[in-house]
Amino acid sequence: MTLLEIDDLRVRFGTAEGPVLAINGLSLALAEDEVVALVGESGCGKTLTGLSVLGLEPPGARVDGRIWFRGQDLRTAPAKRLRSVRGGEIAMIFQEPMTSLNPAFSVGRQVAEALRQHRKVSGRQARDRVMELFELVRMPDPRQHLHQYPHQLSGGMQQRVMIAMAIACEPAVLIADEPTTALDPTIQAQILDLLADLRSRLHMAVLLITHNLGVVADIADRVVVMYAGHKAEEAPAGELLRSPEHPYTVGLLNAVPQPGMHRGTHPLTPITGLVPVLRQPPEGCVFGPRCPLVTEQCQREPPQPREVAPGHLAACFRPGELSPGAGGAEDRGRPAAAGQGPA
Amino acid sequence: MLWAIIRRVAIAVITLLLATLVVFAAVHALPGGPATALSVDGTSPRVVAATAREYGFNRPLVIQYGVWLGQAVRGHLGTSPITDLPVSSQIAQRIPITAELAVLSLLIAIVIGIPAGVLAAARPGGIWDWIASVVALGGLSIPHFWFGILVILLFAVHLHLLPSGGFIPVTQGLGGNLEHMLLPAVVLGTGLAAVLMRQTRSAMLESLGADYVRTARAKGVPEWKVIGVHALRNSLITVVTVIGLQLGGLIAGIVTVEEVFDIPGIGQLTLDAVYQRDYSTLQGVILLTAAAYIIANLLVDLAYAVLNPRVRATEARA
Amino acid sequence: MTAAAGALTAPHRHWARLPFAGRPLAQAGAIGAFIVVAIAVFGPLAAPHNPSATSFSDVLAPPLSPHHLLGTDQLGRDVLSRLLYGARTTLEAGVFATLLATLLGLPIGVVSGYFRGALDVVIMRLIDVTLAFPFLLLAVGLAAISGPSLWNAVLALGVAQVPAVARIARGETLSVRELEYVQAALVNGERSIAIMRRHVVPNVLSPVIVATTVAIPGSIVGAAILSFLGLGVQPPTADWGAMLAQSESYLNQSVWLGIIPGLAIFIAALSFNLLGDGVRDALDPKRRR
Repeated sequence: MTLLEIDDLRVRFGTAEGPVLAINGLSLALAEDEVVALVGESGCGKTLTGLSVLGLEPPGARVDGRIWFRGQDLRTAPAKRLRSVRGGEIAMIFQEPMTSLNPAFSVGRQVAEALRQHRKVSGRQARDRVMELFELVRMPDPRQHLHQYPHQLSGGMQQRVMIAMAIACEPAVLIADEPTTALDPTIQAQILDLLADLRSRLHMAVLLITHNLGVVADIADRVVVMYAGHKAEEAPAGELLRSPEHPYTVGLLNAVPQPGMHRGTHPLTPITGLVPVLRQPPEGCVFGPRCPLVTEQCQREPPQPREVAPGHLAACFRPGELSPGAGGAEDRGRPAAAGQGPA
Repeated sequence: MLWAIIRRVAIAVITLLLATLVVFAAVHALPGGPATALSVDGTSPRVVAATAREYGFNRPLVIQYGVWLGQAVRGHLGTSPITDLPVSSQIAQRIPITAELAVLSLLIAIVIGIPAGVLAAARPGGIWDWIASVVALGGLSIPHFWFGILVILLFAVHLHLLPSGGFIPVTQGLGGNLEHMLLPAVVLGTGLAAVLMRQTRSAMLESLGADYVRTARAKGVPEWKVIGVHALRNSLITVVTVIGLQLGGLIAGIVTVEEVFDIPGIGQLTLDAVYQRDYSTLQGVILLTAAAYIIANLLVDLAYAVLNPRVRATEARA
Repeated sequence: MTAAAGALTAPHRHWARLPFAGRPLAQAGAIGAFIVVAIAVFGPLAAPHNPSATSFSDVLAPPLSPHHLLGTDQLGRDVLSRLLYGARTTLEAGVFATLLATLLGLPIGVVSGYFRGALDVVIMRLIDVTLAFPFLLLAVGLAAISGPSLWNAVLALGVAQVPAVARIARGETLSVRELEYVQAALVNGERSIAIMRRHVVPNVLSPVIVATTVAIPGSIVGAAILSFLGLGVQPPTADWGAMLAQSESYLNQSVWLGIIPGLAIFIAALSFNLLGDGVRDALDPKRRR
């Protein structure tokens, strides 16, 4: 059953040189208990998507579209309802735990605040619950951490505090925005493991925003690949990794080191060029300028996401024509394909 | 935390000692030496020499400094040759008056400046931001003494609402006291409020753009609390530092405002001492002001440490 | 998202090329400051009367009197002429004080930052002690020692600003010192004095100049305060602060006497404040709103 549905999301920023289109018609659904990974390069609009769900987009952003949650459009919901959703029913954790925690308050107080915002509890009850949460996120000494300040904790501990804060009210949805990017690799694995464990224990649906396809394989049920504010491909996680249909997904996979890959035989293949900054809705496919398969049709009309297999969507006129491990390398040097972003 | 306090207090004491040394040296650098300085103009050289013996000015400087410091610490600041009154009792009489003025104006500055800065930062570019910023620029540019003259012209000369100056002690009625203190405190507080408003606004704008504000919103904290608790608490750290930097200006403001409104406080005592070349009084007043300034700065440092958990824990302040 | 943010900042760089374009307040400040400086330079030439010429038949005339556009004071002196002459005195005091602070503070800060170590610690501690003396006390002390005068006021105001300049210069020196060409000069065995003069000072100069520009309105008001208190300019020299001080006893008869010089100080300080804000904003993109 669908719990959260993003329907035709469009986000624009006004600038002196005309509006910038950050997200253009993105739709995606999250079912109860499901983990959906939102994948793409930096600047493709995935963080903005997460923020828009909770109405936290930065000032100056114009957001259109609907965010359906439990039968209500959050974009038009009254402020009071939105506040009760934030942290109560949909919680969010961020990329930089250091700056995301308030340096002036103890971490115990900050977690308790999340709790007391949505539940009527006494100070003692809140404190007990915070210690319970600290234990749940596997912090070594809950009683001591209660009174510590963010700067006294390591990055991994800070992110655990952020997670404790997010799950304080047992939300139905957790939006995790690159929760491990700022952490050491060993800590990354611990945090991901913790998230996977918590979501099965608390029956949360998770929208995991990441640029790391390796992470996706471990915990996501379904994957949505975003490119320049558009949905490029959507499929069950295993299927997407096995048989990607969109050339951009193929490019992404080729850029991920695989176990068993040897230097020389399968070189890592970068996707040439940059994610374009869109100043107006593009004429054709947004990936066209960087795509090895680009045709005249691609330059004329934008491809819409179409079902290429049951539960597998790709926004491409030539899905499946490029296979992982091949493709990119030979076509990489094509000058016409590389770096034509209007940046 | 405790170490941080001890360190600050120690630095304050050393600074104060150095200040006494400067004051002592300044008086001894006076043309004709301190004996001439302590005598009324036109005193015969013989009397000056007697004064020198009486005060021990013929002894080595180091010993003189020690004796002088010892007496100053015990509150003996000598006798004014003009009024023949002990300097310490003259100062003691005037401290409450100046303290009342300083506290009232600081209160006015904080009550107006900080909320105005918060309001302006809540909607940058909005109508309140514009009004507050323009008013603050005006308040920053208007010299205290002219502003004082203007309010006297308006409220005393033109409207006859409030007295144009003077002072009534609290013991003779709180109403009369406040009536006389209101205009000076407002005049003094306005300039400071302008500085506080500008600093609060820019600190709040920075805080409101911070990630932790987004976190607070993401957990459903209502906007008034996001602004008034999460962002403000961090902004206050900067604002408190600014208050410390304004103390020197506040002292200058007190002297001018006391002059304009004819308030018999420390400022007037200082100016009278300058005009009458009353060096004993001057020495005492300068010492007192330096001490007050250093102590106020110490209090600001401590407030900073209380507000900023990083300093509290590690006492690392650049 | 980051790309979008980058795109958002790009146009502002384009604005920065035109001085204060899109900043009407800073433009108003620049124009006001220019007018005030012009009056200080050329004002005395335009003055209709001798600013010290008294006329006891014409005392406390209101503004728009036949021969006196802004009226006369208690001695019958022409207010407009005194205002025009006073601009020079007041502005001179403010500018010279700031100049003095730069001339003293820059070498102190550069030497402190360049040699570091014990010398640095001692200098910075002394600077802290100087900071403990509010400028007014310094002025009071100087006036007490050598009598009140314009130059004592300038000296007090200037010395009071030395710590701020020295700190900025020291901070900049510390970073410039680490630059490769300075290190290269050190290795080449150039003398410290030459290195400081040729490499360090030119690099440190521009942030110091910005800081002092921002400090000018404070100096102007400070000079006016000292004159008002009788610790600065002495009569009969025309000065805005002194004019206000003399007006105090005559406010009942002539309101204008108390308003006109103050308005002049206010406008000068406001213009320089607006200009200072503009300069700072233009040079520091972080402060852009």
